Amino acid sequence: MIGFSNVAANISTEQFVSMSGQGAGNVGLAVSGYQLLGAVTIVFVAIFFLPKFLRLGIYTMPEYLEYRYNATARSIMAFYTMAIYIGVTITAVLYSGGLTLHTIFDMDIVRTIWLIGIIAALYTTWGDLKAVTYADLFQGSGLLLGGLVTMVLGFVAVAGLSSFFSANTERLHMVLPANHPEIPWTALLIGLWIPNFFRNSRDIFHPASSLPLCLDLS
Amino acid sequence: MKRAPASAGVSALLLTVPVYGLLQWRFSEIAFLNRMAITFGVVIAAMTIIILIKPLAEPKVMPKKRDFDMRPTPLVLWLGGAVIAAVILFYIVFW
Repeated sequence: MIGFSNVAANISTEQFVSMSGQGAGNVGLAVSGYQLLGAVTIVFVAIFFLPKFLRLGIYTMPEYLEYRYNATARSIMAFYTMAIYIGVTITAVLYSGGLTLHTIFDMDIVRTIWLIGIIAALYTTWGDLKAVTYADLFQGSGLLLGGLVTMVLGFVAVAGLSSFFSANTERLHMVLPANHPEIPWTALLIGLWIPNFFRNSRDIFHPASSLPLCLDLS
Repeated sequence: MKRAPASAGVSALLLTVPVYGLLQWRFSEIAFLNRMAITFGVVIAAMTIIILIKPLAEPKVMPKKRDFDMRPTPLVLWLGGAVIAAVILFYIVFW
């Protein structure tokens, strides 16, 4: 349940639209580093960080900063989080989700963006963190299944695996030159781990902290 | 880091934005992930200086609201190790 919710919290149009685009563009297979190294960070988060957060009984990262430092630290982090979510994450996800519906169903893009936003806002406010975790379970299954179907249809459309591999030899590299503008190999040493640890601590932690709620343990 | 005072945490949070901003403005040729790594290094260095100047008298003890056995079972550790090995293998195959 926690695992699925984490996957669902992590997978969105970011992967289906943005990362696929980078994969087909100048980054190639190396874009999967965000997700694959994510698997490594999840192991570390689950074994080392999560127990600490659960024992603290906190629900958000700003809350942690208040316990560790002070209320000012909490407020600054809360402000950053809000600014990042409103300005970057939600904007990008709503737009790319809206763009997907617009492309598939030829609906007006402003309407599709409102539709996605309203549905998400309704079930979040109606059912709280518990509803989000359960919704993640269903959406996570749908996303995984949809991703697999898309992959199979994609390979069929390009006439099989071998023609895919022979047409994309220059894109199938995980380690890129040091002067690469997006993900040079030097970023694999430190840079890529920073957003990974942040995202996975946050994404695995929210469903995990709501589990006692779901199981009425708290 | 357990002796880091509140000012270290607040300074770290406040430093991140101008340091990254400066790097983006003056060194935009550096890949953004590497700019983030440099920012991380600067913030850690600043926190270390603050800890050296003004450490907490006692290491910070975090409160415990709930307590249950969170020690990972051997199976979890093996599976975790398998995940890490699989990722390394993927990097080697598609080097």
